[in-house]
Parts: sequence; structure tokens; C-alpha cells
Amino acid sequence: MKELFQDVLKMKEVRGLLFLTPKGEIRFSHFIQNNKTDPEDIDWFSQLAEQLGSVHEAEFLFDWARLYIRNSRYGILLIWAKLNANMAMIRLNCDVSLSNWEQSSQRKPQENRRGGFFRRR
Amino acid sequence: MPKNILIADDDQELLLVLKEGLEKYKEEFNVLLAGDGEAAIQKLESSFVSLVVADLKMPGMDGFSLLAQISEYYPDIPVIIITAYGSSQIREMVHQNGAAGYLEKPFMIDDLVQEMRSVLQKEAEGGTLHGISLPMFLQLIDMEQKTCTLRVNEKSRNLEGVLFFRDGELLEARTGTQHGEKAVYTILSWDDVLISIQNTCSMKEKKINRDSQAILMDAMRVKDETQADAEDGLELIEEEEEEDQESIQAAVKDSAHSDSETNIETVQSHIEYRMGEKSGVLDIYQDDSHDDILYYGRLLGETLSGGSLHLSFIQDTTGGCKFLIPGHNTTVVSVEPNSPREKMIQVLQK
Repeated sequence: MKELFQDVLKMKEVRGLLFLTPKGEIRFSHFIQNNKTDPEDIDWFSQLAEQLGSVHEAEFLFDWARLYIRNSRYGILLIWAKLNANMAMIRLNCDVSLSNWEQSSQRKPQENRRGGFFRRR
Repeated sequence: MPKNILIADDDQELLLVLKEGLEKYKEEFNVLLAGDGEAAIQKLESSFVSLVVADLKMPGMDGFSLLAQISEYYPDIPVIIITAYGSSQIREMVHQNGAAGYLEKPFMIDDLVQEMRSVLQKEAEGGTLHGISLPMFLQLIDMEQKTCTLRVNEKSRNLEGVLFFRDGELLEARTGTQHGEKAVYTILSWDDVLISIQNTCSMKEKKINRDSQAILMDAMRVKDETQADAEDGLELIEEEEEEDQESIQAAVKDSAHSDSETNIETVQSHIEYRMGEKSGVLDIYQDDSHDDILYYGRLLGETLSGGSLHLSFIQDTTGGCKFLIPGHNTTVVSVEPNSPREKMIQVLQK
């Protein structure tokens, strides 16, 4: 999973990434900073996912960090970055990552079907 | 509460040995590791460190450079230098450069612990206070023209900050990556604090140029506003459970109503002045329909130690774009999809 998001994660200003299912369950989490609470212990991501509803993307600016949220039918991507992060690059890399995710998730069922076909023969 | 100790050394094996060796003192020290001077500076930016233990010879930024950086930007953080190339001259040079301690390798873990304890004792030599109002205490420092360094710990969220005073004058403040006045506002917004007093001030330069009393007054105003925002958020989630809250909410909103038009006008004139027609602004109004999203944004900001939320941007699936400015009533700036987002963020953050 980390490989899918490597373009985002290797950006210098990116401090962490969370990838959630559309319902808010954690699929992948990677942080390079110490957090007061482990993001994996957060139990309100489902409420956040519900609130995002028709939101395509959102950005939050804090005192010393910014949060980028990309909502798609494949899941919700949250990027935690320094304030000086190049957001255009982050947005681009998120699009690429989600597209890669889409391709890899579509590929798996096809491989299974092919396996079944050979077994029948 | 254990103190954060940052150990910087390019010898990975030694780092692991020290980490393991200090494990039995985990109630006293929380060990952070850095593989070189630059990594140490990054850790200092992201964590509140009480003491640095640094090797003298490291690739890139060596111990002396690290010591110089810490003296310049984090003068309250003591540094213990460790080295395998010890001599009396090196020891003298290390102390001249401002190190609080010096140890030659190889050393026993207990020697390091003893050195760390003796250095850290100075952190609270003037005593610790808790259950006291920080603004009132700062006024006392001003009145008594005291020279000191205050370490402030907000216990419930485990946040820490430092304030430097010379002859009652506030020279500098720091919390997280915030420095100066902004850090003062943040620190003064904390409740239930533990204050450790050090009777010296290692900050040489006055980095806050405004009068201390004026800053204190401003900080209290910011605190009041922040509390009002928090109350708004709290009311939002408790609405269903406590119907009585509705009347309080209405009262708060009524009292804020007179400010609403002013806020819209201020935002509008600010955008027009800074960006003119290039802003792509369609409408500016106040609307609380996005407050739930702002609430979860704030929660994430707190969880990941990002500080206070200042601004949000939302694009919906139909392409509609809005900037949300949190406050008593959320101010919404609706813009065209091709509005220059980064430029607008810069403008609206001010």
C-alpha cells in the first residue's frame, strides 16, 4: 500500500497520510511525526466520512500545519503537511495515487476470474 | 511527567544502546533520537524538548553547529556534549560555546543520567506553580521587573511553551513552531497550566518589540474569542442532547449578530484591496451549514498537534468552491472554481 502513495509520502513537507474507505475505516496510515493520539485510535472517522458527503476536496489551515482531504468513491485521502507545502503538487500526487488505487483494485477481481477460468479448463 | 530528551549521534548502535539503557528511567525521561544535527533541529521544531545530548563529531551539522543553532533559537534548552575525542581543550571550548554539560565516551548510562538530572534541576530552580492564572502571574513578573524563563505546561493536552523575561520585559516566547507574539497568544489561551520557573534568562535579543502589557491585553482578547468559538463548536454537538442549550446558542448568536455585518464588510474590503477583481469572489455571507466539517477539521488539528484552525477551503462535487472563516458565525466566501486558491488563502489568513 505504501508504494501506491510513495509520490505523496516522499514530498519533504508531508508529515503523514491516512487513507480511509468511503465509510471511514482506516485502510492505510503512515506518519513521520509523533502524535499525541495515534490516528489509528480515532473512532470518529465514520462521522467525518458522513459529513464529507458531497465534498470533493477540503483544506484546513492551522497554526503550523495544513490538512488536505480528497474525497472520492474509492476512499478518503487525508494528507497532513507543513504550512509551506506545495499544495498543487500534493493535489496532483493524490489524483495519481487514487488513480493507481483504482487500477490496482480493478485488477484483482480480473486476476481471480482468470484463475477460475483456467481451473475450469 | 517524563521530560523529552533528544539524543543526536550518527552512531546508530550507540543511539540504540542509550535508548535501551534509559528505558529503566522512562518515568523520568522520554528519549527522542536523531541521526545528525539537521535531524535534531527538525525534532526540536516538532517536539517540546527539555534537554539535548549531542555528539560533537557528526556528518553535516556537527555538535558545535548544533549547539550554536540551539543557543540562537532555543536558548532555554540545555545541551550536554558527548565525545570520543575528549581533551581539556575540547571541554573548555564546549563550555565556552554554551554547553551545560560534557561527557567523554565511553561513559556509563548512570553517569549520563546523573549529568542530565543535574542540568534539568535548573529548569525549575525557582519552583513550580499550578492552579494559578498565567496572565495574572505575568503581570506580577512585569510589576516586579523579574528576570526569568517560564516553562508552561498545559496538562490536559500536554502542550508546552516557554516565555523569556528580562527585568519584567517579555523578550520572546515559543511553543511548537510558533515564536514571538503568536506564541504568547497561544500559551496564554491555555487553562490549567503548570508553570516551572528558572531564575535566569538565556535569551539575549528582544524579539518581541511591543509593550508586554499591550500584548497581554491582546492575548486575553484572543483567548476570549477562541473560547467563544469553542463554545460554538461544543453547542453544535450537544444540541440534540441538551435542548436548553438552544436558548444559550440563540443568545450567543444574537450578541454576535451585530458583528456579522462588520465581519462580512471587513473580509470583502480586505479581499478587494489585496486582489481586486482577480479574486473571483461570488458572494460573502455567514452560514453555519459547514460547521460540522469545521468541527472535525479542528479535532484532527488537535490530534495531530497542528494548533488552532484559521481557515478552510471546500470544493463540492459540482465544482462550487468556498472558503470558510471560523468564528462566532462562520463567514463563507464563495468563489469561482478558477479563483487563485493559494493567493486567496494568503489573503484570508491575514
